[in-house]
Amino acid sequence: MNTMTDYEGKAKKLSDDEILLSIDEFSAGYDASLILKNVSMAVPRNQVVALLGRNGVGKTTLLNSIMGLVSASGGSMTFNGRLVDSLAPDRRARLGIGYVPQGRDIFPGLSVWENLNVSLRVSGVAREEAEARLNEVYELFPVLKEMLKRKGGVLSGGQQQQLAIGRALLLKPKLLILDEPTEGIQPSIIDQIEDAIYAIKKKGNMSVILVEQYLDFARNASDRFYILERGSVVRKGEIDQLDNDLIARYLTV
Amino acid sequence: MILSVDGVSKSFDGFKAINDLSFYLEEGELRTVIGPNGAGKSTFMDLITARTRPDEGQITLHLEEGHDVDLRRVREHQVSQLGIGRKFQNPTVYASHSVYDNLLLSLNNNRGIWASLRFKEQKRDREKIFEVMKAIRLQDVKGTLAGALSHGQKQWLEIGMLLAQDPKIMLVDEPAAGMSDEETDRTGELLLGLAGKHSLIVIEHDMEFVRQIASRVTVLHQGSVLKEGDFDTVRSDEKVVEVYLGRQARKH
Repeated sequence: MNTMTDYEGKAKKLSDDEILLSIDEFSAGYDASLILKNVSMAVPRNQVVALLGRNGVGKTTLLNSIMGLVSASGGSMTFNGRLVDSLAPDRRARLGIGYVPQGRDIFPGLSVWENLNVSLRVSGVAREEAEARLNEVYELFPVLKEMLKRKGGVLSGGQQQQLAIGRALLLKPKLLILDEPTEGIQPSIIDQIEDAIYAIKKKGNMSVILVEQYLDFARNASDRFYILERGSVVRKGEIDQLDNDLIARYLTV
Repeated sequence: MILSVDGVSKSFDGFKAINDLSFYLEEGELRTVIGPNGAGKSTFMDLITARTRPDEGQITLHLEEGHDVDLRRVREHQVSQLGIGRKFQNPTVYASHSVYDNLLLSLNNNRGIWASLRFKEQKRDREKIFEVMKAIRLQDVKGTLAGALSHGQKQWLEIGMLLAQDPKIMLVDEPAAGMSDEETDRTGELLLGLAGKHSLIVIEHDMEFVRQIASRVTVLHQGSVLKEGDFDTVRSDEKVVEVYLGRQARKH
């Protein structure tokens, strides 16, 4: 049993079945520095969890750790009932963890179609299934369908972000990790990304971890939150418990 | 005043990283610079240390007796000779040398190459090294190889290596990153102890740490100064709060 406790201490038990990703007393760092200190976190199935905190508190390091890109100095992670600590990033991706890193990392020299096709090839799904998945992505981000032949590198930042999310969705992840999806993006596209998260939630077969500085966006899109400070979880709870006190204490100056 | 930055702008590929920025540092002051991602903090440091040149504006180092140096016209390697030292975020110490030797190698004796080759450690060198070791509190590990130090100790050693050169201005980039709480506190004490004798610009994200060290805080946003003042003034400023919560993005 894992316990999700809100910051006022009201405990709400979640069964193991209800938890997709469980991070238990995880510590990690680079060289001699310690970036994450005994982080515990639970991502329930089909929920959006906001991971909040100021710059430099360890959010991206935690995401990289979930993906297996940072080696642990302590603790463990369980994904979908399976210990993943010894698994390389590609194995974790195949188990259903999709990662859209900050800065998006699309292939700039490949067309939009080729970028998407990389995912389809990797997933190895049959043609019909591939078509169905593509259509779902086009429905979320119509602009991608209009620009299939355009090189990824010439898209606007917002379009690149949509492409990166679309590319991750084609792999049908059980967990989608988004690192600052609204950073440097124009408002109209922020709305579309927000709508895409709602649509994902409505479908009810994917969890999302959202790292986001844009608080209103994170609040609207999320069910729960965790706040990191100096590499430790200092607060967690249901998203409506994220009050002005916490915001002033941990998110602003 | 020891440093003035007047109306400086700098673009990269059409993106204005620094936009009409003005900034003035008093002698002996400890200034903390904060700001959300992409605010221009690193470019700002790069401009002061002549790693990049401004497109517009002036950057002037004010030395004794009205002697001003136009920092737009000096080379990067001359900046440290002028007394501006920069500590980057990740510690870069000589891992296979002792703490003592790291400091010895950093001493500022204005030696030419022949003098360096024939260099013999003088009494005043030793005194200087012990003075620095005391400031960074590493006397007890003076013989330890730098590579074997803790992360915090490495950061202090690197600050010590800057100190060994007697800098007038020290630029310190995220000194507390990756440190334990105790190391963070000690780093704060160290920097506070250096103010007065040196002028410092510290870039930092950790607000507890900023609160500990800050007398005057400059908030950068989109390459300009958004707000300047003491910690409480800055943290209660509505524009600053908006920017930290990402709300500014929506309004453009």
